[in-house]
Amino acid sequence: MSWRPEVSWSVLHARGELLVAIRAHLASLPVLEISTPALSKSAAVDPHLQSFSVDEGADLFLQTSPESFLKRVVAAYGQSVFEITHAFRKNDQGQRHNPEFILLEWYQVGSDLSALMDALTTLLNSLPRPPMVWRDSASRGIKRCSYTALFKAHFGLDPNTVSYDVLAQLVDKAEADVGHLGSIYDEQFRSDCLDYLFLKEIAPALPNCFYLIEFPICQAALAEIDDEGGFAKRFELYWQGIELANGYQELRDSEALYRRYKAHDQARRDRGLERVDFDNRLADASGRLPSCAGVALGIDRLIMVWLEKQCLGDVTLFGWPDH
Amino acid sequence: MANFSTNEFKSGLKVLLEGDPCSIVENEFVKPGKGQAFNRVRLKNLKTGRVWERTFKSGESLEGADVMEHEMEYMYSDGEYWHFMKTDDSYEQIAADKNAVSDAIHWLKDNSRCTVTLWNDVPILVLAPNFVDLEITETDPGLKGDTATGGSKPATLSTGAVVKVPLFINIGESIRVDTRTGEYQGRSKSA
Repeated sequence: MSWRPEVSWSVLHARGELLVAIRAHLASLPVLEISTPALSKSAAVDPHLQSFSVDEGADLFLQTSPESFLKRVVAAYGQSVFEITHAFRKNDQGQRHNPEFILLEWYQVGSDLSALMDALTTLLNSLPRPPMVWRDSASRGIKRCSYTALFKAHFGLDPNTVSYDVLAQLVDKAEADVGHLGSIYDEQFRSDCLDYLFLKEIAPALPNCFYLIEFPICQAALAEIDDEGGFAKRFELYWQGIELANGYQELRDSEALYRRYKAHDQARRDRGLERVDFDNRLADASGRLPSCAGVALGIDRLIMVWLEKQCLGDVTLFGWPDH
Repeated sequence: MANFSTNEFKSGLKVLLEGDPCSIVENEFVKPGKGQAFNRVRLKNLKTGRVWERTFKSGESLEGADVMEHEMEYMYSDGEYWHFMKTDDSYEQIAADKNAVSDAIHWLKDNSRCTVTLWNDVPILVLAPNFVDLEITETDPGLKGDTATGGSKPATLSTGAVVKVPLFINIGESIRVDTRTGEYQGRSKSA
């Protein structure tokens, strides 16, 4: 292995400029930049997020996102804040995934989800030298596509209520190879099937750049649910098939949060995954959150698409895992 | 043969899918924000040459396939089998059946250097060289001096293959053909 960093100075320079521009824009809103710990006793409970455990004795985990800490700050001070930090997700590795990556996590107090999408678009519009894909999409307004509506239109079924059996049949019909999404019929299974069907059947026909909104309820994560509309108040910003950002109308109900924890915990237990303790402090903070929306933006991916590169290796100084 | 998990997939890896040996062309890890991770994989079926696009749940695995490619010289056909010899000085010979020879059948002549794919030491695919020089055995008479009109006519080659050639080409002449497209490339000195 060479000792040299793996990207050119010009890439590094562009990367630095984008970070300066992001911070400048957020400071002008104003949103305050803060720093929170990367190591914590808490770990993410979502079955598809695996944390690196750092010290077996002390049970410390590298954070999969600074969400928990930032929510405690927002709940305590009632102010909009952001952090640009390293996040760690075990096993997520590919051309567009590194187990260690940089995340912008931003909470806007008093904002609803729609306003946060607008604010994110404005932030991206403020960045220097936008690539063609963004200029094209932004000039016409970034489209918003409803996950639940797309699913209903494509399959004629409600993603929230379609039976597990029918979902399994749809997955089998789409392709035999993923027949192993599991035999445990629970809401996690529903979510996995929806992920697959969306990826395989719906995503290919979607525009270059769009906000995916109105998620199925089983994918609410820590977002509020719109009971009447039957969807989770979440969005993801997609860019040529890559997810760049993920936003929530933040859940402010600690009991609901506990119920979701229990469901994830059960799903983990049923699948033989490592158990994760309930994050009491996140629950306490969630119950005290002012109305707010938050978004996480993958900085490495943003730089990759902004510089019109194909993979993270093209914009990463020291490539995982051989650095 | 060992099993390979999706996180070991990389281009060139030979695996079994639906009983057929395949070579991985491309492997992309796809994961929605907090959702299930998948590997979107393009695999080339080494028996048919067809490319399959499959999506696997990350962590699944496929059995490896014992597949080797050898450069071999075509020797002769006995009607049922096509016989090849290794070019690595081992003089080792193998016999490929019609399925394995498939499209290459149109382009094989003595001593052509072919790529032969062996699966469990059995030939499953023969690729002719990209360019071959072959003699014309049958075509309409050439129109002398007609090198500019750009018309073409069918011509039968010594192997039996039929290709389109310019009007001025005659029986007995030797031409160069791109075996991947079956297109005439030009006259050649010898066949």
